[in-house]
Amino acid sequence: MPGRSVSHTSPCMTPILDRTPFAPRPSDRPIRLERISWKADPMPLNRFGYGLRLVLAALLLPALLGPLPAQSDLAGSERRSALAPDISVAGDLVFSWSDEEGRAAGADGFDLRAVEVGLYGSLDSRFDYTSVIHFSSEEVELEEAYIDARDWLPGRMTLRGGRFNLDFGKQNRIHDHDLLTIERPSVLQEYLGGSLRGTGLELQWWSPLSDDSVIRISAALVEGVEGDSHAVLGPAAGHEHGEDEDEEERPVRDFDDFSINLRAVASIDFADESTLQLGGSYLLAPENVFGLDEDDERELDRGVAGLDLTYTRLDESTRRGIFLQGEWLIGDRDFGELDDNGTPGDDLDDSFLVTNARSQGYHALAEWRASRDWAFGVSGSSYEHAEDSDEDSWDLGAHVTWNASESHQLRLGIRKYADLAQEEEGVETTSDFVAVQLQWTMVFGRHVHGVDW
Amino acid sequence: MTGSKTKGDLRPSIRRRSLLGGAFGLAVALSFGLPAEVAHARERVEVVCTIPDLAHLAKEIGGDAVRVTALTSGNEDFHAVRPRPRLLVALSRAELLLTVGLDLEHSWLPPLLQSASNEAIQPGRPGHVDVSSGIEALEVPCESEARAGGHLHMKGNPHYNLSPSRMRIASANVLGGLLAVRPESRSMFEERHRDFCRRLDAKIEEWTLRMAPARGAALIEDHKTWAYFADEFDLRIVGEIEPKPGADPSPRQLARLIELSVREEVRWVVCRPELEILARKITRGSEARVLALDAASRRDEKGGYIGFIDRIVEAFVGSAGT
Repeated sequence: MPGRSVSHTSPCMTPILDRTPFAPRPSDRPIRLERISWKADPMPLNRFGYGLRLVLAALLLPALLGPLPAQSDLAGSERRSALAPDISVAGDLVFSWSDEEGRAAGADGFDLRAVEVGLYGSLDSRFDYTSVIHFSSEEVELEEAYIDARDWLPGRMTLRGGRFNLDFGKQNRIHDHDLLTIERPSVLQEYLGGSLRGTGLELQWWSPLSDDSVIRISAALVEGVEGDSHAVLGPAAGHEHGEDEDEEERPVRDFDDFSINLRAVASIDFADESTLQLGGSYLLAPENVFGLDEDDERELDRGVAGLDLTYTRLDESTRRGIFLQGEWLIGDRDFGELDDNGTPGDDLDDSFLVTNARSQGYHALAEWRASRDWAFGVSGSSYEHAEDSDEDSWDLGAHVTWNASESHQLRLGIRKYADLAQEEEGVETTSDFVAVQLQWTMVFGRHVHGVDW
Repeated sequence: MTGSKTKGDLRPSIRRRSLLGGAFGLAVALSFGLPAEVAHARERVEVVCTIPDLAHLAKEIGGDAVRVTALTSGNEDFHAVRPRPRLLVALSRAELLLTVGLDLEHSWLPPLLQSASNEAIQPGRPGHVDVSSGIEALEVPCESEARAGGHLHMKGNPHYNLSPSRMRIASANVLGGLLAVRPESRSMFEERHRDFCRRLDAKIEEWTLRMAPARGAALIEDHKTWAYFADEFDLRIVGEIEPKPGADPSPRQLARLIELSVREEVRWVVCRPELEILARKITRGSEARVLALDAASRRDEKGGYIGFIDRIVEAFVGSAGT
């Protein structure tokens, strides 16, 4: 039975995930993310490595291809100006307060969670580019950098290449400052590590089902899938960016080591005000690891499936309405551990054990938009722990949001956490506490959101 | 649930390839197979407009030869339209897209266009018409104002639909767009356009006469919206309710607006209907009247664009006893 603390306390069991780039770093700090298999460091600027090369290749590819003859219809000056990016800057400051247990969990004081610079533009009529750079007090991270190739493939297919947030569920592509709650739902932190990101290609296709409804399907082939979170509170909080980490030995990557992400979503409009969306997502993110030795390569499966339902009703003249959303996730992942069978000095009787754990959880959110300026909401998560479904946690909270202007937003939230798992010096504990948070979000410049699929 | 398994049992790479192949196969099959994709009559020009005012112009000029869809209903905040499936479907089928331009739609139309994958209406194509072409924009921020921030529209005020004489220019751009996609209907489009301009010119004369007694009168607006209307009928805009776009005034700013209303002898406080209560506070102690008006026509506006301006002029004239 894999328990979350076993791999850290048992002297004869080596956590195999520690030998992969996805593994948590050795640290004295409590690292609650160790349970999240694809939670990894965001790439500091000096360690982009292979991922950055792929991003650059993706960025350069369209330029090398050059514009297709049919699209060279823009005048030279227009094309030059089109290359100039729209720039947005978003800041996200969170103040948290809690009782004693909450302070131990990190809920105390100010967090400048992010200053995010976004660059958006078009290379020409067929290629758009996006890059998002995340600045925090501890690191500079290239969150996303990708090209969208549209009107290039047959039908309504578009191709995205580069480093991007995966199309998984309703919230994975939303950056923290655009969330409807202060923290990303705990179940997403637990199973996805916050938001999932990878480097590779994604094919999207959509089609009308009627005048008022559409279906969309996406499929992505990516490498280096990692969960990234800037959470102050929750199971993925406390992730310290920019710490030194030794490169872990791992088998040479091959095609089988890539990850696949699939999503299908149907959206239906009811009149102008109401939209219902039903979506399903699946991520298969295997990893190749060394088993007994470097000649023994093993593949561990990591999968997450999710169903999501979203209903929006918004009177666009008064900006009054309601927003309801729920997501249900199932995690399914392998764990590999080296067992020395009680003889640490003798490698001959070692064995490599692979175990599988399944767990599930959900979150739900209801928000009432009282006016263009004010919104009130309640939300909660309940989830089995990713590595041990016998343990579970939940949280329930309420928030009020004030859109002070088009650039500034203040949000006050209160949340009760029950059995929130934390890890300190390799020992896992759980805590119950209530936290109050105040979030101040500032967004300047052109901040364009895509279609809400 | 927790259990054990042997690694060789699952063959994950085969499963993964099957999944990927299945997804792409499904996408390709659906690309060619969905019934909604099959039949869309192409006899009439599929025209999509971002606001109803442009849709009314397109109907006036296109007549029965066009099928017009307005993406908005006329009472939204045009800066923050929610991109939703029906907008995407309309754009994907359009042959001609008419936009207000001047950045009015910049926060929501580009991502919709990007997703619609309709080459015919992409910027730079004959099917994409920025109707503001040839219209001199008002309230273009100077460099220092632009640097100070808070301006939504660096290209100037986009609400020229409130000026009938500028919409006359816009109608010529609509005609140009229709001719580009249906040159064979030139004579019909041109004749209908001439007829519309004749009727519009006559109404402009009438509206000007009706508004003449109010020349030089002061008004406060909720948001930088009414500049073209004021310019058309020689009114003075002396203040805005919103200190910055999207922001409600503080009590101190409200007090200043009340004082301004008295000092400038403001005749109207013009606002969107949802801000009517706030606007009434400003008229305390003055003779100003509140006009709760949308800044665009409705999809089902009686009399189309001309009917809309008729309604607006009547609201101004009727409320002020001019």
